[in-house]
Amino acid sequence: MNERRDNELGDALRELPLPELGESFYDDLVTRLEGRQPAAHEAAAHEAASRTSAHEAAARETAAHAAAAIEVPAAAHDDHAAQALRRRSRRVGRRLRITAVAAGLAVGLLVLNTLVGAPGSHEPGAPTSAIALSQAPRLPFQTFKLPPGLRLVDYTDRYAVLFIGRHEGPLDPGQGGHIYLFDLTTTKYREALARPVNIWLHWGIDGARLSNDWLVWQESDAGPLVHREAKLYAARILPGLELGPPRLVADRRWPDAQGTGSFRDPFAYAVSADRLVLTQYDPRNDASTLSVQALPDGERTTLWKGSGACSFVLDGSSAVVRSATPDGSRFFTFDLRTGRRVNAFDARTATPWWIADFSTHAGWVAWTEQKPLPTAELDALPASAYRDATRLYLRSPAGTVYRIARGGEEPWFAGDFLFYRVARGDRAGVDLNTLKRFSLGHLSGVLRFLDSSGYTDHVVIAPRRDNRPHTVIRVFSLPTTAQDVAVRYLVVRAASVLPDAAPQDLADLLAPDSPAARREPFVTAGRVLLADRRGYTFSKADTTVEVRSVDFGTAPGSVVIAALVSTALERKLVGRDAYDVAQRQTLHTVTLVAVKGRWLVARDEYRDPLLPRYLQAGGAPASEVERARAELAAQ
Amino acid sequence: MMSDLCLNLARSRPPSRPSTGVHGVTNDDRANDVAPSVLVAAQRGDAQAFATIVRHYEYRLRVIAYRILGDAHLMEDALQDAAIKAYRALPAFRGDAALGTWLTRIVYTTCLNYLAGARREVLSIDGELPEPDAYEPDTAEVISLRSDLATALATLSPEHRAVVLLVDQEGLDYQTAGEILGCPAGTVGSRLSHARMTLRRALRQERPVGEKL
Repeated sequence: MNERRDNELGDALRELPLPELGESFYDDLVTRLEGRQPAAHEAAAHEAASRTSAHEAAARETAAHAAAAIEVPAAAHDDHAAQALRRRSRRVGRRLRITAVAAGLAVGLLVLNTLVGAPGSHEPGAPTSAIALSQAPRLPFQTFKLPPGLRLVDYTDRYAVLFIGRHEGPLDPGQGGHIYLFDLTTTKYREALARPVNIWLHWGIDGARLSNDWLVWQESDAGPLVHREAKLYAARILPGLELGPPRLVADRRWPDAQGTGSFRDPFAYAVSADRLVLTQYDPRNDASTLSVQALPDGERTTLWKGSGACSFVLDGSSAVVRSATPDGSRFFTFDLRTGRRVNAFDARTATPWWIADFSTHAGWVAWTEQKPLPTAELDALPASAYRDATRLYLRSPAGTVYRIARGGEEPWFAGDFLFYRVARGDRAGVDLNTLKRFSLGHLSGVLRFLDSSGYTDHVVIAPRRDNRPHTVIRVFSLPTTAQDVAVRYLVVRAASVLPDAAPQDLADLLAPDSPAARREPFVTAGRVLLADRRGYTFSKADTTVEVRSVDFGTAPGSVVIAALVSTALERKLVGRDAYDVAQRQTLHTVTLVAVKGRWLVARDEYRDPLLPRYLQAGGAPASEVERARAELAAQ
Repeated sequence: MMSDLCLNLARSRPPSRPSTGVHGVTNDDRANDVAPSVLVAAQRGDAQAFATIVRHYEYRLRVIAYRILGDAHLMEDALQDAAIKAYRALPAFRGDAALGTWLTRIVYTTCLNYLAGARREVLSIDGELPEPDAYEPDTAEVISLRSDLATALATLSPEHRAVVLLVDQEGLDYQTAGEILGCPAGTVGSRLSHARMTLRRALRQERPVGEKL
């Protein structure tokens, strides 16, 4: 009787609705696994090796850590911060000369318990520096809805590319796939490619990558599992998200669909400006070739050839390739313009660890070391054991190696930050300016960042997994954007006293109803009025902004930027040719907040003895003038 | 040959409702295992072969993950994490347990870790701006939430929920369920008894006396 009841209970349980997995679940999984494919082979080898040498490896590691006792000089970290800020400064200013200065404050936050790694290599169990955890930043984001069934496959700071593969999604009636482009600056999207070039052969689109200038996509004659023939096409991205005529840039035919290589993607490829970088794996010889191809003229240059599979990451005009070695990995950096190798370094791992994935930007390299999970069939492991089996390292351009996180993996760089994944979908990051670590949290469990995308300066785009009834992506603005806004604000503010300055230019950069919005327009008006009373006008403003520090604010969703503003104001006497130049240097602490996905200035703190007078002359409320007087007195 | 096998398995969707054994009677999980060639390929690092394995056991894995976590997105996250974990451990898999049992245990422990992690403070970056999109829950989720049985099931602890799902829904024997749950067969029995009693009690409140479940 009971058994019958329990059968009925089982039947009832089976009747309960059960959500299906998302359409991209297996694609995502295979993508993540293939990023680790060489590692899996190594894992098997390491597993065998570790049975005989586990004690030896452990002893080596212990000895290495015991030897780590020398502290990192503070100056070394200053250099890193300075380099990061200089990179940032170069991006910000065309007409500005911004000299980045290292903020020494980061040094005090570091836990310095080890020594500097030797430049050019990272030895197994080598000494590393730890990084302190700080608060979580609140990144502003905008959410966009796109047609259903699309899969985000690549993005830059300007465009994102999404596609529907063959036989996927309700929009594709067996047409072999579509490619959509999304313009982040205009927030417009468009179906850029309605069907494969080889639709007449019943080919389908397998994926796409892009730069700000070119779109490259792969077509093949079969489903994603087995490729017999595949082709890469490229087309220029034209205004209005139109595509130029497609041109064939690579062609590959597999001799035998039953071979082991047939399961692999024919190409691994990515685009940087007008350069296509691609690897081709030869399963017969277990060898890989990395090449770069100029898309305008098709000229191809081989960058690297080696045994086994290789993987690469683009960073601006360079590509970093990783090749597995018996005791770790070797990283080579190539200049895509010249094809030259510009540097290399080895990351050696102690048995049974291997390097699973990596990312790079401006000389920084982050990689994940993992080891096989031991005898999981006896007892599936708790999360702590999983974390113990994964380590994330960050190597500075100067060669210092930091151990970032136990359990961290899948690193990628964006806007002077290193982001990475920790257990159960959480995301975390490291601020390269200050070398502080932070947690991004779990992102509500529905977002995931796009793995293996190239470096981006201003944005991180995360697709949502639940793509019904729309494809939804979120575009997160990085604090690098906030820094750009702060610099623009300081320049606009300095120039706001010029006769041809539009007041709206300044107002557009201020958060509504913020302290800055309540004060700065009066300051400008007061300065102009006082100058007028004295018989002169401002005729020219030359401003340089020297960014001192960028940090997340204490208020949620805020960024605080300290900058030294040097202004040379040319003043002309009314009705005469005479002029003089007044030079000032003022340290500003600008607080920005995210408003509807944009960074805006909410507060601008600086010391100016004339501030109360400006406010009074500009017609500011008495309370505002009194506040300025009180603040001045307090300073 | 192996490639054909991989291809065929990979392209076939998992059965929506697998056949099950009879409770209390040994139901060897090995009978449902994937072909050895697929396992070997996956152990050598063939990601597609491994995906084939996951597909093969997908229904059971979804049952465990969704019923324990109660959220479709968390289910996907947990299954991804568990799959990565299993892939990395696969070279060390020696077949002491059936592959499906082993994989299910990894999913089960991953889900328990998710639940444990959910209790800690989560720093969300979503808090600053209002969510612009109002998402309607998945139809399946709505129905599930409204279901008496699902509601009753949700009152059970994850451990008790898992045991009733594995034994009553999936038809596993106590020994296999114990391997997945990491407890002796006797504990499986006692947990099952408690779970069934709780479910019946909860459901009886909604049904006329004497009506079958």
